[in-house]
Amino acid sequence: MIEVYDAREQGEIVKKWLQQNGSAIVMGLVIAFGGLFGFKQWQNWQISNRQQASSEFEVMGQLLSANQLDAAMANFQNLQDDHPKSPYTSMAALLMARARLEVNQPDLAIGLYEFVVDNGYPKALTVVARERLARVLLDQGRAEEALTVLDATTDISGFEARFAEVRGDIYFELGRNDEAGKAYLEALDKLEAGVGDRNKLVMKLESMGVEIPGDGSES
Amino acid sequence: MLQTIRDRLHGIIAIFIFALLIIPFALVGVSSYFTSDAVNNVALVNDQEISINQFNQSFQNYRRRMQAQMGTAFDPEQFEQAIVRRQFLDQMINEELLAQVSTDSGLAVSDDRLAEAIRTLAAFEVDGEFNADVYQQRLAAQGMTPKQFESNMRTGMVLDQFPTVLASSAISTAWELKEFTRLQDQQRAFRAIIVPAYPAVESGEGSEGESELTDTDRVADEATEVAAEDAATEATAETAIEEEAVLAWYEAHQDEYLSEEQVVVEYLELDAAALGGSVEPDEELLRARFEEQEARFVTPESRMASHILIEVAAEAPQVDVDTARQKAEELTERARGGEDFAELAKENSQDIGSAAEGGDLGWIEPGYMVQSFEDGLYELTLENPISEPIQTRFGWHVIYLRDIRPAEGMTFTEARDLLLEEYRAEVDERRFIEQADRLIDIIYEDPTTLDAAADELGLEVAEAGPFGRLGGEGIAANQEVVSAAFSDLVLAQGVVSDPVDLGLNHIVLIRLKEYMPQALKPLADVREQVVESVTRQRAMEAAAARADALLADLAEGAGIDVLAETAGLELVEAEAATRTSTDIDGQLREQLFLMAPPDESGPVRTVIELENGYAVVQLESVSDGVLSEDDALRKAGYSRRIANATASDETMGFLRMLRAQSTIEIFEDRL
Repeated sequence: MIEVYDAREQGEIVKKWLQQNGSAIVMGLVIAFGGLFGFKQWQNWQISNRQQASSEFEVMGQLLSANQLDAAMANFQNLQDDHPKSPYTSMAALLMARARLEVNQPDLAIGLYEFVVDNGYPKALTVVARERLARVLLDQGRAEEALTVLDATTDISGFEARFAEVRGDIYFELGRNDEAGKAYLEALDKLEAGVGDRNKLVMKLESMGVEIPGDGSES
Repeated sequence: MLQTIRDRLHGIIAIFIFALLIIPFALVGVSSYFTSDAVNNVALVNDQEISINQFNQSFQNYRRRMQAQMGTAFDPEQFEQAIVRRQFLDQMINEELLAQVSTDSGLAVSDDRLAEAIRTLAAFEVDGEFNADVYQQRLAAQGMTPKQFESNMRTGMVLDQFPTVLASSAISTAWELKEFTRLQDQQRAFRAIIVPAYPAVESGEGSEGESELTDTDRVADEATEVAAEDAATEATAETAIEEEAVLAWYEAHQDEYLSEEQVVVEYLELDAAALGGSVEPDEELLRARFEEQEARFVTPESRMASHILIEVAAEAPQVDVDTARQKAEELTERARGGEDFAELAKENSQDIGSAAEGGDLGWIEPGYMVQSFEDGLYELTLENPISEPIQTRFGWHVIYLRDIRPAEGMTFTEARDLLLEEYRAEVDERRFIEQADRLIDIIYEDPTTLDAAADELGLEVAEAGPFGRLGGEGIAANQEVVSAAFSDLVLAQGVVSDPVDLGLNHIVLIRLKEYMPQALKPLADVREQVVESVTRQRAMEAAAARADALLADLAEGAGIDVLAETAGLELVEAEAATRTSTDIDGQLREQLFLMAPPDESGPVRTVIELENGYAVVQLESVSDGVLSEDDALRKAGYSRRIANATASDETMGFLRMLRAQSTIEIFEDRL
């Protein structure tokens, strides 16, 4: 099966082969380099996008600590418009909500919390927003709504103690003391050592005359 | 043959061979990716590895930080505990999770903010301002480049963003504040009769107390004296507690009468300082060392000189060399004739560096110049300071000696003591290292005894103890010795400890000689304590019975004031006790706030146990705490307390949710 070619014949064969496959090779190279280039571009775009969000957030934080609420709101608006899913937008909304509460604009704060509940990222921030939303609603005399907000999700893994205490507060406000006692007990049970305010929970339970199981010796 | 292989490498056979080849390659490749490193991991966090090395390094750093913080309160054994390592690993996992969620969600820290953060670090400040030199030095001292440090710092800042925002956006609502105040600032009105168990018994004073019964302004001291009379039976019984009661108490409370666990150890001490002494080196050797290290002791004579150079390469034709020399000779003449050397140098020297300075070379020590130049310079005297032309490879020099600084330093006799001391220290150290090596070798051969090593090295086995985990005298005063004595190696396995450093070139090895476990102390030794406990117990029982009787009287309608007075007991009362009232006994206050509030049926009564006796308490009313508008400080404090507490809870929730969403594998056996 040995085939012997002279130089010219080999040249012919190579040329023929190139004619058949040349365009495919060139196409392959173009696609490969194009893809690489595109990927790089996309990466750069993403980085600059993130940096932009980050700096909007930073500026907003500075304006907030300088009590320039309206100016800060403009930065927040940019974040909300250009980077609705960025974690910076969620964090900014949480900070902004606190500022709104401080100047007694609870309705605006409620709106901000609702935004994070619906659009927040990462998920854990939406859970925090939900918990704070319920607390503000309770404060505004909208206890039933607060309960609905808490009940709207079951995936609160990790936040059990916090949710239970807020739930207890809501039940207490609604005069459903049995349920409130149960909720506070659950909160006490789920609360990790060194976190939250154990004494406050104990105080709430005691004032309702609820026995705290296995807590007799604890001061 | 190759050709045949090539021919056959088509079709089914080829595919078959390739398939066969792929199997080993694939397996080796894949398994090396998945197994070789896996053994070194202590945890996998979403497939991100935490290696045992990383863990150990961080843990050591943490340990060092704690040691620096706690000082003498630092307990090294605490850091050996598995649970401490495990908790630390949890913390590392949390950080890893935070790092992952921060990067995944695209958190970043801009260069400006990083720079700002570094600039405000107190560690790099001098007089309250950032100092770039200090920054470099501090980092260099820790073996870090600025780049590394900045990268670490950036990672830390990125990691902090979520927790920081959770904390700084934390809220407390007016409703929460109102509820908290209502309970926290609650006020309770009560009266209580104190029934002490342990009156300060001073015999023979009972009658005096009685004579003052009519005094309405009775003070507590007197009241207790009166109570002493009631307790008179106990007081006399104190000397006459039946043997059975003592024995019964002793049996029932054995765990309170245990002796401390102790050890007696034997040890071998190897101390470089104790090895030396007799070594006398010969004078020869010291002198040789002096000469070797002359530079340490002697600053050689140095000479200040100027020169004029007439350049000519050494290998240049003879004619050029001669011309140059003539020129140089002429300059020598002119200088010796009194012309200013500096001026001559400026005009004629071809050594560009020094010519402008008038040929100045400054102070010159031996060894810095070309040999022939140096020789020429050192031949000159201040009386005859201008040299004949001297040839070097640069050309011809005319040298002018301007000043001489004589040699300074120690003579051999002066340096001898220092050299001797150093020599001895060296010999000691060498002997110490030799002996220590040998010692460890011998112990390694038979780790159950110190005697073999002691015999061979001519050391004495000494003894220390008994001492407990808190240490004792002699070597047991050293906490590391104590740790070693109670280590698993020595205590359980009964072998010789690893060497423990007592100081520089000073070690000790210890071996358990005797172990005295915790044991019940004999009754005779603790009789006094037992009698005291029984006495106390009886006094408390009597007081409890008395308190119950008083409670029953109260229930039948007796007034608490009258009751206290007739019983001759102290009455404590407050119209508005708070949770923080310091003038009320702590236990009484705490229990008081646990009592259910009274309703229409009248005050609530109960008996509360105190440190020393009982209190018969009558809770009369409870009123809610209210924040007045002008109490801004208190309001702000409560607000912050609520916000901080919820924030810590939320942050924990955040971390726990990350955990719940991740796959985390922990290899506890490798910790």
